[in-house]
Parts: sequence; structure tokens; C-alpha cells
Amino acid sequence: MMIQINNMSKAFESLQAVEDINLSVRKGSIYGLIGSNGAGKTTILKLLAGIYRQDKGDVTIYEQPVYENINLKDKVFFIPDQPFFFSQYTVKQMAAFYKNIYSGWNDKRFESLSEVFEMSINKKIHTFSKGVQRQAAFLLALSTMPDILLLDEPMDGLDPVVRKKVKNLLIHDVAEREMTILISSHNLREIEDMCDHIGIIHKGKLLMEKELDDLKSDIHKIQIAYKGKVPESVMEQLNPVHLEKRGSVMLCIVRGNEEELTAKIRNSNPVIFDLLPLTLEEIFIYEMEDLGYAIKNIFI
Amino acid sequence: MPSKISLFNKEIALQISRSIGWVSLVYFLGLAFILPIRMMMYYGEEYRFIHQENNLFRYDFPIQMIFMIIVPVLLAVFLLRFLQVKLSVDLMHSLPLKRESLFFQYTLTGLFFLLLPIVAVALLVAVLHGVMDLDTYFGLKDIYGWAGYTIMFNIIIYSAGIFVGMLTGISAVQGVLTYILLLFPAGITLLIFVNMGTLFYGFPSDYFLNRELEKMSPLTTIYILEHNSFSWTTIGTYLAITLVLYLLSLWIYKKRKTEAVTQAIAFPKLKSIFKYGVTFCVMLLGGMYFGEVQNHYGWTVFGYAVGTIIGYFAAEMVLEKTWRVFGHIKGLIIYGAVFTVLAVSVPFLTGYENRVPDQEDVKGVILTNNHSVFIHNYEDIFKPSPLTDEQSIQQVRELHKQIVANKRSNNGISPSSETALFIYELKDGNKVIREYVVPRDLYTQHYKPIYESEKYKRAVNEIFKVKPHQAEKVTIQSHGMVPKHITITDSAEVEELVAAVQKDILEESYESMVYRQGNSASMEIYMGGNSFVYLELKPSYNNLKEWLERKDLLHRAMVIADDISYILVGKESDIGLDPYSIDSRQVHEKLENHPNTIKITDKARIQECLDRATWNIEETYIASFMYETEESPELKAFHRDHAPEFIKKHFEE
Repeated sequence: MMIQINNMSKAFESLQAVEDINLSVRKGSIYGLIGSNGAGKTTILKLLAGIYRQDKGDVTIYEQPVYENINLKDKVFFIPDQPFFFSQYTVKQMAAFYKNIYSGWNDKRFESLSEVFEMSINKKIHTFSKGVQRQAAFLLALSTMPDILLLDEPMDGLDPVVRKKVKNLLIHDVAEREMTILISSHNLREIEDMCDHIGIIHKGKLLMEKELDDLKSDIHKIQIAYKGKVPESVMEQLNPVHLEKRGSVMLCIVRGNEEELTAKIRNSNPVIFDLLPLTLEEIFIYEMEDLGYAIKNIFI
Repeated sequence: MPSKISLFNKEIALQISRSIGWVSLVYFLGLAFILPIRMMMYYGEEYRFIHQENNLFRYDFPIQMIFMIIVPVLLAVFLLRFLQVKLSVDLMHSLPLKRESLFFQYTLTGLFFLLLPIVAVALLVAVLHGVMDLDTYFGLKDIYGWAGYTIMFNIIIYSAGIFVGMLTGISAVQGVLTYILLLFPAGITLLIFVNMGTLFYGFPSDYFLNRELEKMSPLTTIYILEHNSFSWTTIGTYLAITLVLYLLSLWIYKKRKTEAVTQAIAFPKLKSIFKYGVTFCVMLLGGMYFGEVQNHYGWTVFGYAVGTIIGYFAAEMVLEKTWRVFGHIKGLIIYGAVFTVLAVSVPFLTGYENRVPDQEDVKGVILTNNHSVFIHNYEDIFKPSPLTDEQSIQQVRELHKQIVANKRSNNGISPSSETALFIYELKDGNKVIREYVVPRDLYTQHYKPIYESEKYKRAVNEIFKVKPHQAEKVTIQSHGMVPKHITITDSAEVEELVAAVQKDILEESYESMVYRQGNSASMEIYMGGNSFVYLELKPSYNNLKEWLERKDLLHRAMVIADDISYILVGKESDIGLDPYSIDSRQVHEKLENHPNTIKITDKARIQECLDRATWNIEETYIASFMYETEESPELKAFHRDHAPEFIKKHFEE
């Protein structure tokens, strides 16, 4: 495992920020950490960046503890939710700074990315808008060629075009050189199209960790209707997670293999039968209901 | 990779220089205007001022001092912004740099920028020294000395700033706490000694406070630079403290959590120490202020209470970063309760106050009314020596016991107020030191045998520390309206003179010692070097007078009857003095016009008046001395007990 967090807790004085977290991220994966404000996302990212030190448990990258480990930190780049630059610095000066600090710095990459972002590298960063500042942060981060990129609410303040551009760049690096990304967001929709893993964090606890491909193939929304009474055997077999009736049409959320389900239902001769796609958000809502959490508290 | 992570990182140094370079520049410009540019102005070829300063601190010292106090703290504060700004903390600590390297990189670059202006200005002055040939004004050694001391103070204050910066997460708190830390050693010592004096009757506060207290804090010692240098011990101590603070800073930094940023106190465990520490100090300050100003028990208690409340809430405000903390009174109540219990139990701890060492335990005892002889630079040989004989120890102990027994009646201001400092040396090596201010008149029967004993006189009078043959030169000045002054250098004469005065002092009575006489003259005995003994000459010193008479020097050394043409004496109650504006001519006229006034012209009587009069004119009889050579009279007075018989007779009939 690239990133491994075991039984980790961290408190700020009397405030327990995260508690007993277990989390693992494979190399080359894009892991989305979803949770509302104050859930502990940033704390986890800062622990992985070596900014904080955990009170309990382990925080490791390549099976080594991160805190004060400069060889590891050389391969990790953290972009906070509010990117910070030294006052009065231009992009070029910041680049010189990072070049001096990170061994992986790549000048060519910096040049080509500057073009992609159409960045005026000789201008002082504080004169830029919030969105351009964030692009500058991406530009600098990707130029250090990190093995691990930690992104805290990275899409805030970016317009859809830039969002797309950034996502493509990130995915490109993941595909090209197996970069690993840990990305936090309070909004699932914002990152669902790029993540392959999702972790849901609530009040300092990691509620669930899922691989998206599994999720999508494992849960289905079905619309069925029968002439007359619904055959009981079908309902027993389907064992729906969620069931709604609209007149004679039933809307079920069921788990299981798509083909098996289809076969079972066809056998019961329904009048209407549709297998509908589920959005990721819906999947999580039903998964969380399964675990006994009222979803509204977790998503905005 | 290792080269990138080595101690010195060019880009970090550059970043530091961009954020703090201005402090360095301002310091450089300041020093440049004070020293090299000022020197070019003073010593320019057109007109050379005779402005000899072999101490470079004397050029605008106040400004140099202000720079020395402000610049290092300012630098430390701006330097550690990387630790006190949230976003910056996250950035700097996510970089692949160890805390040690961040620490050394920042503090050493900061140090470089702190010292650069000093070294540059020292070099400029050295160049000027060569070019303008300033050797007549100061030497190269003075330049090194200046640079050395300036660096010494800058680095100790700088290291204190760094140290405090590691303990706090707010730049403003860092600045303020740095100065508090720098003043703390001297301040807390002062507070504790003064408050002990208030709480425990007889605690020798002044005796302790005379010990170079200001040297305990760099801020209070800087002023010395203008006139003096420091001993190598002091320099060594300062440098050691600098190093300790610096290394402690690193140690604390490694323990510090990054999330401590924006917290007034970066370590949760230190918060209560800070809170109750501030409460305690302000409590002592309140007690000291009201205790010293009002000198009344009720006011002192009020001072403690007010200090406690102010200190507690002030600390709470800093910790909570808001002034709305008046609901947080749990800690205050507990603190208040603990200290009330302690304060109430103080009177029961009378062991300290009542302790007078037993006769058989005492090896020796010093009794003196002048605690300033124990200040640090007072010459050792002149310090009073202990009384070691049984009888003297017994007498001193009796006096001490009586003072303790009279605790309640010793208070209040009395014209005969006298400090009584007791220093017992015990046989087991311990010391018992007590200090009181007592109305001496209440203890005449105790003081008289001590003060009149030869052993005591020899122990405390400085003149007995001088062997007559050691004295090189003696001068005598009269204090009358007619200035008189003689100097005696002949060694045989000096020896005789010193011996005569010693004899006079041994013969002097207690009454003569304590009567605040208008002393006719004073004497200084020089012993080579800067060492000399000063003493007031009393009219009762007959051996001295005889000696001067024999040498025909008396009339040149002191005011004698021949200098006075006549004296007018009246009752103070008849004349009515306004003590705030005394016009001697007016008083003289009033005396002339008053029917009861006595005019003295007989030389023998005039001499008697001269011997008996006192400068303290608020006494029973007021006297106007008219000199032969002067137009204005000189006012003196006689205490009823000390007035010549013929005057008493005149007014009492």
C-alpha cells in the first residue's frame, strides 16, 4: 500500500479531530475523501503531509512514518484549501523556491504547464484572482513531480473549464507515472468522475471506504410492476435495500449481480421491468442508510 | 538530494532576507547616522570639535540603546512569522525539511541580518579612523569594544525573542512577552523581596535589594555601557544565557505542534502556569505599590486583591484572545481562596519575626543603620565588621528583642527614625538578617551602651579601617557661609590628625552622635587610588580642634567665634516660621524687632552657640548668626536639651 493509516487519532487540545482512522490507498489510485465541514478531512491530509503529528496510531507512506521524514516528504505535495505563497512573490520566484527544495522539480514540466494554464509567471501572485492563484498552486505542485498529491477542496473557485483542465492533468499524471492522489471534498458530485476510491468521513470517523467499480456493479435501481399481486418469492429473493411503491409500480434498490438479478426477475413475469442507473450520490445514500446513518447530516 | 536538504538553502535565505531585510537596513542607517556620519560632522577638517569620546556608546547613547532594545525583538518577531501565520506554518512544515534545518536556517540567517549592520558600521568607523586620523579621539580597541558589546546585547535579546517565539503562536504576544521575560529576573526578585518585607516584620528587603539587582536583566543593564565596561564574568554569563536560550528554543521547537499557531501560549500545559504566574506577579505588584505608597495594612490588602483580579483577567484575556472573559471566575476563586488561607496564616508563622538568635549560637553580629554599605561596589574594607565579644552580642540581642517585642509601636514616622540592620553570623555558618526602622528615642537605653562602646565604634566607623600611616592626604572643609578649606599632605601630620579624630570618636557620647547638629565641617581622608573616607566633624572633637589650634589651622579649617560678629536668638514660637519659605533676612528682622530676643556678642558664648546649634531650624530656639564678612545672616536653631544654659535661662525666666 502506498498510503496506510492505522488506528490513528488526533486531537486539538480538547477537540477530538479524528478518531481511530484506518485508511489505505493503493499506488496510482485517486482516493476521494468525502465529508461535511469539520469532519476531519483536512486533518487527515495534514497528517499525511507531515504537518501534524498523530496522537495515536500510524501514518505511513511506503510503510514509513511520515512525520519529520524528509525523504518521504520530498515526494509528497500538499495543496491546502487556501493556497499560500510568500508575500510579493511572482510565480517564477515561487518556482525557484520549490526547485530548490524538491529534488523532483522538472523545469520542462513547469514551462509546458505554464503554457497550459496560460500563466503570467512574472507577475506577483497576490495580484491574481483566487481561481488563478489556485491554478498557480497546481502548476507548482505538478512541476515538483510528486509521487503523492494531497489536495484539500481543490476545485473551489475554479470555473468548469479550468476544472476539466485540472482533472485531465491530474488523471494524466496518474496514468503516466502512477501518481497517487488523495483528494478531499464536501461535495461528492464534484469529484466522483475522477476518483476510483471513496472514503466517507463524519465527525472524525471514517464511516466507509469503497471502490467505485465494485459499488456501481453491486447495487441497482429496479422498476417493476406485476399484473395483480406481487409474487412474494420475488421480493424474498431480491431483499431490497429500499422499496417505494408508486401505484402498482415498485421502485427497489437491490444488491447483487446484474445478470442474476435480471434472470430472477424475468422468471417472475413482470409487466414492467427496468434496470435504471444510479448516481454515485444515490448509491451512497442507500449504503449509508444501510449502516444506519441519516444521510442529510453528511452531505450538503 | 542531500545537497538540497542541507543546512543552508539559498532560496529560504532569500525568502528570509525579503521579509526581514528592512529591519537590518533601518538599523544600519540608524547606526551610520549616529557614528560614522556624526564623526565626519564632528571631526571634519574645517572645524574640529574638541569632542573626545573614547567610548563609542557616548554618541547618541539613548538612540543606540533604543535600537539595541528594539531591533533584535523586531527581527525575531518578523523572522518567526513563518511560525505564527497559519498558512505559512502549513507550507513550511509540509516541505521536505527537518525542523532542525528550518530552525538553524531561520535563526542563523536572522542573526546574520542582525549583526551585518553592526559589523558594517564598525568597519566604516575603522576606515574613518584611519582616513581621518582619529586616534586622538578614540582607538581601534574602542571600536572592537563597541561592536562586541553591541553584539552581546543584541544576541541575548534576540535569543530571548526566538525563545519566546517558540512558546507562543501570536507575533504580538511574542513581542510583549519577550520584554517581560527580559525584565523578569530583576522584576520578580524585586517584587518578592519587597513583598516579603511587607509580610514579614524585619525582613531585610533593602539589604537584599542593594545587590546589583539591575544586572539580572539585560534591559536594565544596558545603560552601564555609556560609562562602564562589564566584567568577563558578566560577559561570560550573558553569552552562556544566550546559548542556553538558543538551544532551548530548538528543543521547544521540536516539541511544538504546528497547530499551536494563533494560540497565545503554544503548549497547553503552560497555559495555567502562564495564567497563575501573571496573576501572582500582578498581585505582588499591586501589594508593593499600595504597600509602599500608603504604608498601611488595609491598603496593602487592597493592593493584593486588585492585583490578583487585574492579573487574572489580563492573563485570561491574552489566552482567550478576547476581553469578554469576566465569566471565567472559577480559577480566580480558587486562587483567591488559596492565597487568603496563606495570608491569614502568615501572622501565625511568627517564628521568623520573633527569632532572635540565642547568645550561644552567635559567632558575631553586625549592627548598622546604613544598609547602603552593603551595595555591591562599596569597598569591602569599609564595611562594618562584626562584634564578636559576648557583651556586645548580648547588648545587640537585647536591642533586637526589644524591637521585636515593640512591633506595634515601632510604626509611624518619628524625627528619630533609624534603620537597624542586624546581621548575625551563627556558629553553624548560617546567617540571620533582619532590618527595621525604629524610633530611636524609644530605645535610648539600649542604643546608648552599644553606640558608646569602643568595640562598636571601631566596628562601624570607617575611620578605624584606616591605619593612620596609610593615609596620604587629608582635607577639611567648613560648611558655614564662609568657605574654608585646608589640605594636609605631610605624612607625619596626616598620621597625627587621623589619630586625633579617632581618639575624638572613641570619646564621643551617644547624645553627641544622635543630635542632628549643624556640623561645622567635614573631613576626607585619602588613601591612594580612589579610596577615601568621608566623615562629619562634630563640635565635640576636641582633640582635633586642639591639634588644629596648635598648628594654627583651626581658623582656616572651621568657622570659629572670630568669624561671627553677633548672634540673635529668639523663641521659635514667638517668631513663627513658615517652613516652606524661609527668608533669613526676614527672620533676622523679626528677631531684631522682638522684645524677647537675646543678642550675643561675647566670643566665648558665640563659640558655645556654634558648637550647640543645629541646621534643623524647626527647634525650640531660632538663632540668626551674623558673620563679620557677610551681609546676610545664617539661620540655625537649638533644641531645648542642647541649648546653652544662658539661653535657656533667658527664655525660661
